[in-house]
Amino acid sequence: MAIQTSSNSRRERWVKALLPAVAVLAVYLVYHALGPNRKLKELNEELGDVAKNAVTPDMVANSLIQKKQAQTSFEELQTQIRSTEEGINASIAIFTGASQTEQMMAVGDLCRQYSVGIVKQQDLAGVEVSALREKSLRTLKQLLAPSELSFRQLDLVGRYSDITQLLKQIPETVQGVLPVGIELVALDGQRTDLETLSPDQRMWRVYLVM
Amino acid sequence: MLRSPKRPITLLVITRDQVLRADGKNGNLRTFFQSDRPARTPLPAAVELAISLSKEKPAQQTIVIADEIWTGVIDVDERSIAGLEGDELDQMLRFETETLSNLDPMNSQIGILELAPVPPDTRRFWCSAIASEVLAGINAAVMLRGGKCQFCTHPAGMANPEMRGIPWVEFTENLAGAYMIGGDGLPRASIAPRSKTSNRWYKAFELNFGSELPDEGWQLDSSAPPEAYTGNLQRIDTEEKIQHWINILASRLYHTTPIPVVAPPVPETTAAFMTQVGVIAATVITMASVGHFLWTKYEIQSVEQEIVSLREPRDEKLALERDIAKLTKQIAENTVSLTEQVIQRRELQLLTERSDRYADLLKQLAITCDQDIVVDDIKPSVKGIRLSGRALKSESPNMLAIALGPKALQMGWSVSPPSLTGENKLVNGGPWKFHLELADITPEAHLTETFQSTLANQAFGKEGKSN
Repeated sequence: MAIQTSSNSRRERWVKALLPAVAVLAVYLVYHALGPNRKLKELNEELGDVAKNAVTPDMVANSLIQKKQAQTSFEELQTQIRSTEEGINASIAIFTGASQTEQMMAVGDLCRQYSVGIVKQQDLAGVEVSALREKSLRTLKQLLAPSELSFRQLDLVGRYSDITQLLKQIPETVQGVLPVGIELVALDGQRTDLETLSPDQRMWRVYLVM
Repeated sequence: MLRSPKRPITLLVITRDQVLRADGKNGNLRTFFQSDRPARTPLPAAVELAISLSKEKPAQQTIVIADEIWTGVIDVDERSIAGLEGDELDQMLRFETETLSNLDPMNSQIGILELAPVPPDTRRFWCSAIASEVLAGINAAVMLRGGKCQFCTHPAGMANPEMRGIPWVEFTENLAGAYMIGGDGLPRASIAPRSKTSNRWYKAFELNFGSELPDEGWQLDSSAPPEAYTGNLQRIDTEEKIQHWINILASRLYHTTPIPVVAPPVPETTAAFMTQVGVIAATVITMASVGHFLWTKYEIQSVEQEIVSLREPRDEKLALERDIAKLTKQIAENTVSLTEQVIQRRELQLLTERSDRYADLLKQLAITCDQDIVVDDIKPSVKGIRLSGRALKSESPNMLAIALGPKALQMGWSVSPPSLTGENKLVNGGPWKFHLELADITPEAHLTETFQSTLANQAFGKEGKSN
């Protein structure tokens, strides 16, 4: 007996006719559920998160103002740095370029001009100065090359007024030579090298940086 | 029977001698066309003739009323049709009416209306029947002219007063009918074919109706009622009366008129039609899916754009904050650098400015030292310069310190009070050895002390003036 697979009823014919449409619809619904709909759902969730952390134009404007203020501060600071650098360079410029021998010759000329005798002249690794001046000398050493900076000790013999004039003239006349310390050698009567001095002459020790 | 009064209707009334067409809507028939029916014209041809009476195409609610359609009432034993309904009951009744209608049950269509049953076990049906080929011909004639045949029926019982409980009778040349709607809502009818040879049909007619025949009714043609009937009949013989009758008939069509009608069979759907339906449905679904897909894609794009538009200010702010942080860091670094440079510059200024201060110091010492004081020794110290000497008076070193103080401040030294040691060689304990410390000071300290000493001088001056 043949198995009846189709009753060819009206309902069956309608089902057959609409089956492709239903199949297309089912396939599309599955695709939509797994593809675009899922993506749309994820995007909507993302949109919610983004909307929660959204930034208003006012906040951006504030940040822009802050940036401009920071830029202005930075530029002002740069200007100050340049100005300070120029000041520093101007301060150290007097120590550079000149020959130390020529500077000493000029100092010697001044000593002769003011009748001050040079008893002794020697290079020093450093000079004994106050802590405050020590900082300044250390800074100068940092900024200058070692060959450009030296310390010199001069033992001088002369009258008080001449020494005063000499100390006044050295920084004014000889550029790049600065007195950083003086010492009046005491007359303790035991030093034979002072016996030849006239009554108004004294032994002076001057420390120069050049 | 007709559901939409606003839609136009066309009534095609076919009698043995005449054809009539009436058109209208809302139960009002406005145009009437009437013509003689040629002899031996089949019903479909008569219908076509009636349609052709007007140039207008027949309405989508076209009703064919013809006295050639068989109608009658039959009684059926309830047990023989127990459980039957729908098509099965129709088929059963076609067989039951075969002897009366002389129509082949397999090739005819029937319309039935169940009447009030006859106790104890009889069900009564009012039936109308027509040959299938005739019905198909009528349907085709109407369709060819652009209309749609709603149903066909016999005119008997159609123009009822529609008033519950008021019965009426109708007499035609071949039929006699009596109709009423009982108090129980069930219709009652008795229809009997008239015989010209005897009046026994009349007795059966009365008997089947179950009560005395109504006094009011229609006399549809020239045939007179039997002499036994004494009621008052309206004779429909003139054209005006026919139109009046048709108008009443039409107005009843929108009510549940209890008459049996035969509707043309719904044509079977062909395979090609089903294929077309399938293709159209698949196409519509596909297009709808594509449309929905495009809409979803558009939605996704719009949401993505919205996210981007919301993120843009945020990204811009983040970039600005990064720039601000970078600038702040650079500012901090430059501030440190500037601070170092300022310190360096100050230290260098300390060294280079007032480079003649040693000469000034010696000059001031020469000015301020009196005859009672001798400076023996000047030596560098950790703080600055240390002056050592001798004084004949104990107050002389102090006077020296006081006198030297303001000038020394301008030169960058702060003068501390002298330390004294008497040698006790004189009557007053002197001479005294003294030490005077001149401490280097920073420019700020220098300025501050200068300012303070200026204030002190001003205050002292005021006090002096007041004294």
